[in-house]
Amino acid sequence: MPTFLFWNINGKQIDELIVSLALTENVDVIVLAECGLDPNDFVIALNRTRLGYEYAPGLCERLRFFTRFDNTYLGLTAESDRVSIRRLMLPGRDELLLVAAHLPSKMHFSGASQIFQCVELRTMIEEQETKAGHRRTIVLADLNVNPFEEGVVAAGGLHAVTTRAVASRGQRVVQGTSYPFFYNPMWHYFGDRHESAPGTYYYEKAESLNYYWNIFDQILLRPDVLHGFRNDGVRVITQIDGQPLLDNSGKPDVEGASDHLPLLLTLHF
Amino acid sequence: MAENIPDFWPEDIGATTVVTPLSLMKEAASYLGPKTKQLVKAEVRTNATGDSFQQSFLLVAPGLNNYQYLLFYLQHPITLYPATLVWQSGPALIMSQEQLVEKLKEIIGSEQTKKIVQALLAQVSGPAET
Repeated sequence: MPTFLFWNINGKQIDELIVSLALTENVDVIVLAECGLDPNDFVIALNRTRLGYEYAPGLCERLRFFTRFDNTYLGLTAESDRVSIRRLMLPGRDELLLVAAHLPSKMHFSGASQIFQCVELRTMIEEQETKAGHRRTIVLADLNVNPFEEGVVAAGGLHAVTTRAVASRGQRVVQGTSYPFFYNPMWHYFGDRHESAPGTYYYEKAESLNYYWNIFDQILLRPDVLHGFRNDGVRVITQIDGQPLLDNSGKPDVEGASDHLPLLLTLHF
Repeated sequence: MAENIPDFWPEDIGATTVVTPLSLMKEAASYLGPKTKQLVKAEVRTNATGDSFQQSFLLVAPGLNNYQYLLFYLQHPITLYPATLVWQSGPALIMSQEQLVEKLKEIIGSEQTKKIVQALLAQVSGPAET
């Protein structure tokens, strides 16, 4: 079953960790945000023990794609400096739209501006779905907003909802306009009542409102791909080949890895 | 018509020199195609959300299956200004038509935009013949 990795590596030179994760988990498509690695060097590192990975370049320099598939199967369709949308066209499988995004941080954008970033992302996705003639779409992103924030949940935003059952309704009409749903499986990962971390990004600030753990890194799925998605199909990774990605206090190990935790998606299509 | 009240409307109410952001952006977009032999064109897409309008400025490569690159977008209310323009460096407040023209000049003339257009042209044109 194809496996996708998304990781905001915070500009860190952690190529060996990524390689280890890619090889142990048999990752087919790697998407890295805030990636300062040289793509050529990284491809060499990926192929050191097992050949097969290629760089799939685009004009969006904030997001780097690497794949075990022939990179011509990952055709570019639309980009901005924060979004890269590709058509994954594998022989014998349904075509997928693969959307990667790294939206602006709360440090630089107001809440309202972050909502508009989500609206713009939604518009880009829907345009490409219309062009492709299907809605078999997955989003791998550091949205820099939590799953419960307006830009992610609102109909005019990404319209990503908490349960597979609601998303499977397909779409919702609001004020005469139809808005398709995404399913957002990331809601499952809040809090500490599961084996994974309580989020993907930890941020403590001297304000009254403080979530501490956030899930800025998200995987969203259209209902049209949910038949190939198992409930354990998304994983927040907290260790790679024995190396913990969390420090002694249980927060992302900023020194040894990244301030964000990686996500793995396994999907049959 | 009985003249119960005088005509309060100013004589010059019908004469406006205001050009909408959409018109300005469309005009700016129209100059790219002829300079690239239509290999890379620019388009403006409009979205309305409630009382807010979003104008997105796209580079399009017809020869690359209509690949699109979103260069920047502008959000504005029905009164046009103040508007917010979101480009790579972040959001900028635009208070007037003059400021928008200046910002368009900055973005379109930037090295980053040139690099993107030239990359698209290289993709469409393929390797240079020797």
